[in-house]
Amino acid sequence: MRCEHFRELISAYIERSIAPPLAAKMDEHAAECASCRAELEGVRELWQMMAEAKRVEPPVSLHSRVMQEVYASVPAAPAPRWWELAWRPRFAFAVAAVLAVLALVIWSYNTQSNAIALSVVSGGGSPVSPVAVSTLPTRFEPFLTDDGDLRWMLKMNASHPTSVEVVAGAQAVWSGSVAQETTAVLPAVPQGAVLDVRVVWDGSNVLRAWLPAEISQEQRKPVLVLKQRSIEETLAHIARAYGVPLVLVGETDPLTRVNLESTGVALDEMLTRLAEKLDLQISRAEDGTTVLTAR
Amino acid sequence: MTPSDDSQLIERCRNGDREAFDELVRRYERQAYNLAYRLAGNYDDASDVVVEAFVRAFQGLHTFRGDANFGTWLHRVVVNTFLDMRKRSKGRQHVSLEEQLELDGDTLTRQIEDTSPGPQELVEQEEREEVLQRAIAQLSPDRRILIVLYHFENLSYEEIAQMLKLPVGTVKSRLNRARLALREILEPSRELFGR
Repeated sequence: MRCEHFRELISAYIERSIAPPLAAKMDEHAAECASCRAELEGVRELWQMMAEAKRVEPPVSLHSRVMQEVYASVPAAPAPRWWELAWRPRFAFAVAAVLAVLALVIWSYNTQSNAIALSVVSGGGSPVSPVAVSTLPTRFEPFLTDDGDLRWMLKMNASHPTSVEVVAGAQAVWSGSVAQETTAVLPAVPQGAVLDVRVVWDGSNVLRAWLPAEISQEQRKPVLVLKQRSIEETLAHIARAYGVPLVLVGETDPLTRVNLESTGVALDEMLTRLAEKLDLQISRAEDGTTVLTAR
Repeated sequence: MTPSDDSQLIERCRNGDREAFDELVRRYERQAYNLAYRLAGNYDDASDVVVEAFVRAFQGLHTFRGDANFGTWLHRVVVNTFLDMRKRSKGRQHVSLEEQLELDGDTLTRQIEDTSPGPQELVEQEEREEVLQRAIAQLSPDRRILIVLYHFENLSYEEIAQMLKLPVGTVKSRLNRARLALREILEPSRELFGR
C-alpha cells in the first residue's frame, strides 16, 4: 500500500467503515511506515480532542440584541388615521375604553412614585373576537444595554393571545402577540415618551403610558458584558451603565484585563465584587461620589 | 423541544406572532452561537453572525418547508451568513493572521508569526481549546464548515451532504482531507494533546 492511499483511508479506518482485508493492509503499512503511523495517531487524537471540546455559552445580551435587530428589520406599519378608524364599529367603544384607562393610568401615575406600574390591557369585549382582559398589571421596566443605552421592556399579560402594537407618536415601535407574562423589548424610545398600546385587530387604543423622564438608581440593573477591558475602562463603563460618578485613586496595574458578565446586579453588589477582585478599597467622598482606591 | 413544537411556533410566526419567534430564538440561540463561534473563530464575530442569521431566518421563514428540521435549516442559514459576512469583511481586513494559497484544490497556510503568549504560559485546558480554535480558523472556510458541522454540531455525513448539496462520498473524502490539514496545523503543538 502506498502512503498516499493510506492517507486517503485514514478517517474510514478510524471509523472502522472499511472492509477487513483493506484494514489488514493498513495495519501492515502502519507497522512499516513511521510517518503514516504518526499521521494515523495524530488524526485519532484530533478526533478525540474535538469530541471533548467544550460548548461555549452565548453572552447574556445576545437574545435581546437578536430580537431588537429582528424587530428593527420589519418596517413599522403606519398608524391608522382617526378618519380611517371612525367607520369601525368598535371605535366608539375604544374611545370610551381609552378614557376609562386614562383615568386609571392617571390614578396609577399619581400613586406610584416611579410612575412605571400601569394596569389593564383591554379594549373591551366583542361578540366576534373578545379582546383579552389582563389579570396582572402591565408595566414598563427599564434596563441598560452593555453600551449603557437605556431600553424599556414592556411586560404585559392577557387572558388569551391578542395581537397588539406599541406606538410612540405615529410610529409603531413593537408589535406582537400578548399572552401571559409577555415581555417586549422596545427599541430606543426617548425618556418621557408617551406610548400607546393598541389592539391590532380593531385599532383600538387600550393603554396609554408615560415613560418617566428619569429612572431611579434602584431601577438601574444593567446587563453588562465586558471583555478584556482595563480597570479604568471597566469602571468608566460601570459608571455610565449605572449613572453614577466613580473615581479611581492610586496606581493600578495597566496590564490587568477584566472580563465581566452580569445581569440585574445592583450597584453596591457590583462594586463590592469588583473591589474584592481588583483589590480596591471603596469609600465615599463628601459629595457622595464613590471613590475606589488601589491598595 | 420537538419538531412538532417547532412547527407550531413557525406557523404562529408566519401569522405575524413575533412572540413565537422570540421562543424559537430562545430554543436555538445557544446552538447557533456555538456553530458561529467555531466558524468565525472569536466571540464578537460569532455574535454578529448569530444576530444576522436570525434576522435572515425571520425574513425567510416563508421559504422554510414544514417537513424539514428547523435546527438543520438554521444551521444552513448560519453557515451562509458566516460566508457572506466573511466575504464582506475581506475588503476591510488590514492584518490577516493567515494567508491562504490555493494550489490545485489543496490549501497551504502560510502562518504569520504569533506574538500571543506561548503555550507554557497558559493554563493547559484553556490553551488546548484556544490552540484548537485557532487551528480551525486557519482552515479554508470550506474545510472549516465541514469540520465544524461534523465534529462540533454532530451532523451525520448524510445531513451535511444534504445541506451542502454534495454527494455523501465527496463529503467523506473532503472531511478526511480537512482532518489531515487540521492535524498538520496542530503538529507543532502536539505535545499539548499527547496522551
